[in-house]
Amino acid sequence: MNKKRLEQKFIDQVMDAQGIIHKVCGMYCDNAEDRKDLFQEILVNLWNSYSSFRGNSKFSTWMYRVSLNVAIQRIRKANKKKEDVTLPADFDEIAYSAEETLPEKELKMMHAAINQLSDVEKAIVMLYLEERGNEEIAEIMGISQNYVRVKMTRIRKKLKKMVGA
Amino acid sequence: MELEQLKTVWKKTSKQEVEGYFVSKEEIQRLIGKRSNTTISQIKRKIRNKVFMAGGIGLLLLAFASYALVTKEPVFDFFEFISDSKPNLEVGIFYLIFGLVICFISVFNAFSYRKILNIEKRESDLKSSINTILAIVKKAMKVKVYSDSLVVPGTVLALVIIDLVHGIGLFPNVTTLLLFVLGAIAFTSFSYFITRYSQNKRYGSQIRALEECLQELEEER
Repeated sequence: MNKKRLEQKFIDQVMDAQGIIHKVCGMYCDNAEDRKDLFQEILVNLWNSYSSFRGNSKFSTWMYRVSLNVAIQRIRKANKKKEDVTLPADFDEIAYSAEETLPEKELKMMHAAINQLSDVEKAIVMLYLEERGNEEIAEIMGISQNYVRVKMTRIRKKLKKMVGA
Repeated sequence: MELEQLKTVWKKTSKQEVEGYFVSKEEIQRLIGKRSNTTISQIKRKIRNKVFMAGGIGLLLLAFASYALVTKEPVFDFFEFISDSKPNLEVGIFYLIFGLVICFISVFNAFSYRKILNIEKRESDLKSSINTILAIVKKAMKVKVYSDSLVVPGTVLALVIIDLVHGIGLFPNVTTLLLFVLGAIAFTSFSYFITRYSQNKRYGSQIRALEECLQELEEER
């Protein structure tokens, strides 16, 4: 396949699944500039390794793998120390609130919860929230399905502790 | 807070976020033309530059060597700066050895470059990728520290050999030679620690972060 056609195929596939990159960026970045940089970095890396994508796994699985890889290995501009955030007790009510557009507060709280997790936990929880099965999570992360379950239990406890405190 | 509740918020927010940050086809096409700035990509670019630079210099020296050895015509004589001009055979052999060494460095770097390319193109999982990245970054740091530290002893050795061969009197007595060697040892140690410090400053935090991730992924063992 020539480069032009390959590029077109890649762009078409990415257009359909660009949400994956946005979600990874949202998970690992807390400001717009950082997010823009990471989006570009992931896209360039996806394109650079696209010619070697053999289709052994689903395109989305491959995208998650490359995107998470770039997000975790990138050089953080400012390695901010995590603040010890405790979520407000009304988080549960907020989570179950109306279907309409989300208020800023709700979004902030979700990010506050996610920011308490390590890079690895963020990756696992994101795949879980995206309704990927344990088998696929294990395949992307390179760990056993049993360990995925163990990690999920720990994450559950960690999140619960955040509100409970 | 339960994970299921987080999922509810996630579903709502991610839909909005994806719509809000939607990137057009033209923009994606423009972005993929840019270059990557990940550590591995930076290391890869440095290695590629070394391949071309060392390759070019090496080939130029080999061309000088063959000109001097085959045509027996005078070529640019490095030794002329230090002492009287040497016969072409001697100059030719010098260029040949030097050219071969530099070509070897270029080929060595080309293999490393190819290795990184193959690793990059492998569809590996997160844990294997982190392992590989760590190995590459650590090796690059090591090579930089040792190559920088070898410059001074290499230069000293070359000067001593030239002095021994040509007798130009750089070291009139043993004391001068000894002082020179001691100075070189001190400078080499200083250069070693400075390079190690700068490399740790540059990659240290990233290595620690990746090692933490790896440790977390390997906890199950």
